[in-house]
Amino acid sequence: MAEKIDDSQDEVWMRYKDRKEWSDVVPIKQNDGPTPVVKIAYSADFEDVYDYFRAVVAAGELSMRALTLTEDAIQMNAANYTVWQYRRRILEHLKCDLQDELLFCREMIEANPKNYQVWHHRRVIVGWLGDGSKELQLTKIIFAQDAKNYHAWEHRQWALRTFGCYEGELQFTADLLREDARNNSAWNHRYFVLTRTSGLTPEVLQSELVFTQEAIEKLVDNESPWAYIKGLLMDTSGDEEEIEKSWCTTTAWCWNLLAKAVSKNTMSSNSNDGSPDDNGSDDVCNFPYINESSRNAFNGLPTDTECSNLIDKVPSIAKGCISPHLLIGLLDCIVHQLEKTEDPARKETPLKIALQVCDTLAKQHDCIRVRYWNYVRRQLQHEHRSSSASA
Amino acid sequence: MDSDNSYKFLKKRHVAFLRRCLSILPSSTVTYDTSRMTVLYFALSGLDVLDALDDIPQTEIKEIIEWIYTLQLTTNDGYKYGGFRGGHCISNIFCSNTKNELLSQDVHAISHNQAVSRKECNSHNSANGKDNSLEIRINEGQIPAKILRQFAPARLDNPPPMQLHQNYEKIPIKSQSSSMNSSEQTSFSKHIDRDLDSAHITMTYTALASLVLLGDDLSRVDKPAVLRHVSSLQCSNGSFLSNSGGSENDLRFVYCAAVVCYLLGDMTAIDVPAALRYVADCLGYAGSLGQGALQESHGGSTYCGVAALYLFGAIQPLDLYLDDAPSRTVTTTSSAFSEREIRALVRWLVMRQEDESGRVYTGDVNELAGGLQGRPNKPADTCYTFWIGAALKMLGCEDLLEKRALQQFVLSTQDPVTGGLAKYSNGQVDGLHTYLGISGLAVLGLQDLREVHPALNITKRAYLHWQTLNMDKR
Repeated sequence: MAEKIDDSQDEVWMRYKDRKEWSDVVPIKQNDGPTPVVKIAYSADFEDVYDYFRAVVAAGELSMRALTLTEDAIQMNAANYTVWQYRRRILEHLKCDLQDELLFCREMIEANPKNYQVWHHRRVIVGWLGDGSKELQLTKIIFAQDAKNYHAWEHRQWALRTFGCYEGELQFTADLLREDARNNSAWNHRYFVLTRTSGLTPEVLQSELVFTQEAIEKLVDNESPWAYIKGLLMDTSGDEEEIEKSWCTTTAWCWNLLAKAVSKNTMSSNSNDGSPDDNGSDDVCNFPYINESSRNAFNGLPTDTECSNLIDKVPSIAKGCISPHLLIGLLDCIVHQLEKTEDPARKETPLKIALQVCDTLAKQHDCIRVRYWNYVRRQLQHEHRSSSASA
Repeated sequence: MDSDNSYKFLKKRHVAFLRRCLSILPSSTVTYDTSRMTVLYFALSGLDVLDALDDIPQTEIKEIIEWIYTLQLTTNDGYKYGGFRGGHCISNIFCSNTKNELLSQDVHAISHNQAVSRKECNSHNSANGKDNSLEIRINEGQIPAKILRQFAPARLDNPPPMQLHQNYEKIPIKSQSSSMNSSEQTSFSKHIDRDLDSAHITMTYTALASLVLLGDDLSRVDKPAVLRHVSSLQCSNGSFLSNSGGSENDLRFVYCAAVVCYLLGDMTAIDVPAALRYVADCLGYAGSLGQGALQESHGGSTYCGVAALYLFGAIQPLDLYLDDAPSRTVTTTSSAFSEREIRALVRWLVMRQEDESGRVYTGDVNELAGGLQGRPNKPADTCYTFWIGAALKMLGCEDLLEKRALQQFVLSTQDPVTGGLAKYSNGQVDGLHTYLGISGLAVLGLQDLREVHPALNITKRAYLHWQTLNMDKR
């Protein structure tokens, strides 16, 4: 009698071929063809379970013992979709208590959170029950292990789409983002929730802008909220005028953020702490923003001259001291402004500034993407200079 | 980086690693049991990219081709839908010389079609020349009739109404023809439910790709049956399931369907406008693609979507150099995305390369910057060298990456002892990361590797062979 201690359980594992209650079944070996490749060195226990699984499927046996067998087969390989499929036939045929199945499925999900089959099975069972009330809690448990698990997010969104119950969902994302503002999945989910519920009404747009701007102010070098804020402003479902206003306030906010960053770094270089500002910083004092770091440098949009003066400072600031995401966000705002401007004369300064931002990203602040920013520079020149030339 | 610190490409070790994958895998890899075909494809295509396929003896190549065909489901074997399985887990209980006879004694006569299939199956098994008497002996007459009687009547009364449940979210299968007609349904479900033994679209894709790169002419592929299967898997929202037994449906399988039909030279099995709509639905606010509508943008799904569009001829590359030449040599007739959308997509893709600042460490302080991540704020991972690199290549933008830094990142994930590549440096190597790391380098023109077709993910050499097959004329 072959016995083996299974590491995961403190009980003696008895092979199916040695179990009395299975003595009426003749196991079926896998037939891997005469010239198998990519063979797997199956353990003897694995072969034993699957030999009996094949026998059960061949007989079409839909019994309790077959259900237990599928459980063992799944424990050994949760990715075998045929076993899951067969298990569902048994569950259905025996009219099993699906609450028990949810428990088993949850165990399997917790053990294999990145396996497609376990999540699919869950979805089928929940669908059969017509009750998605446990799904938000389940995914929350998985997020405690890995808050970016794609399967869990997909499942949560499926449950929400299928069963509703969006209350508290926005707060849920806020909670996750408080724990980790870099959780891109949570940002995405926020967008999902808004799209599926209120939509981007003027009020929602405003509160989302505030929420996102606050998140960025706490952690500027974080791509996720920058992508989110652009997503809000690019959304075409809302009121056009309202969105245009939001572009303006966001542009002003970006300039203020940049002013603060420049101020902070030129100040610190004045105190000689090693920051490589070799430009001489006398004219720094001409900027209004260094008076009080908590106050905004500009009320509303800065003038072209103010923008130019500020952007001239950026290349002298050390890499890593200004987030490339801030510069990219600012660039997007300027490009939007360019696209909305018809008068070629009024395009000139914003275009010059946009090209400067590309330059400094390419040479200094995001130099790993030097070729990309050079391309963006060419593309902007191509699009906007040619239009101003033709006018 | 010409200093001694730069990593060298351990080509010979990778060849050895992939050759080992071809023969036998450790028991810890049982989760690949139903997707061994993908492992085979990673190993073979990897060897091809490394220009080491010719070192495999021709007899072995023939054996591999035979093995792939043993996993095919064909009309001749009594299957309505064609395609390939990923492994032999349950294949012999449906396609065995002894099985159907045994069952027919107990229940009733089977149709002419299946009688033929049985015969074909017999000859197929024995034609392989190797003694499989062991299996025959074990199978022969060994399902006790009492078990059959015990369970058969119950099944008769309860044909499983799985379709409705499994697609609970009301994703109807596109066409009625996707389900078996009632007489077939009955004759099967009375004994063995053949639905359980279905092809998988990813396995079909990797099987066809493997056959092509091995120099096979695909003449033994049951093309109509495969196309019928692909067609049956498309959902009303344009996406695809992976197999007839039910599964999740997402952008991965749209890609697989596109490659399968492309390689078979017939796109008519796909409702292309619906598939294009699905890809467009996957475009998220970040400018890139998730697995489904409103899902998080992801490097893997973005590759699948872009490659599918590429194969459908529905995407335009960007003109990076913006020369004012009036005629651009782009042949696509339509594009699923506007130029503005493509620009945003390219932005998202190039932003995946990790710079020194803003990096997400995996815990290994020695890890290099320059790698590609699958999502913002996730650590870089070798496999995205291909997913992101090839997506950029299809958009004409692969030169926007900092290739030397990326190359060094990828090389830092090599295992100098066993060969193979891991997700990150000092990680566990596996077939997938080894292959996608290597083919990623190849698609970007790095190292001395064979050129790779960015959408089909096979070498150009294999692609040229495929072209000579004139699949669209068969």
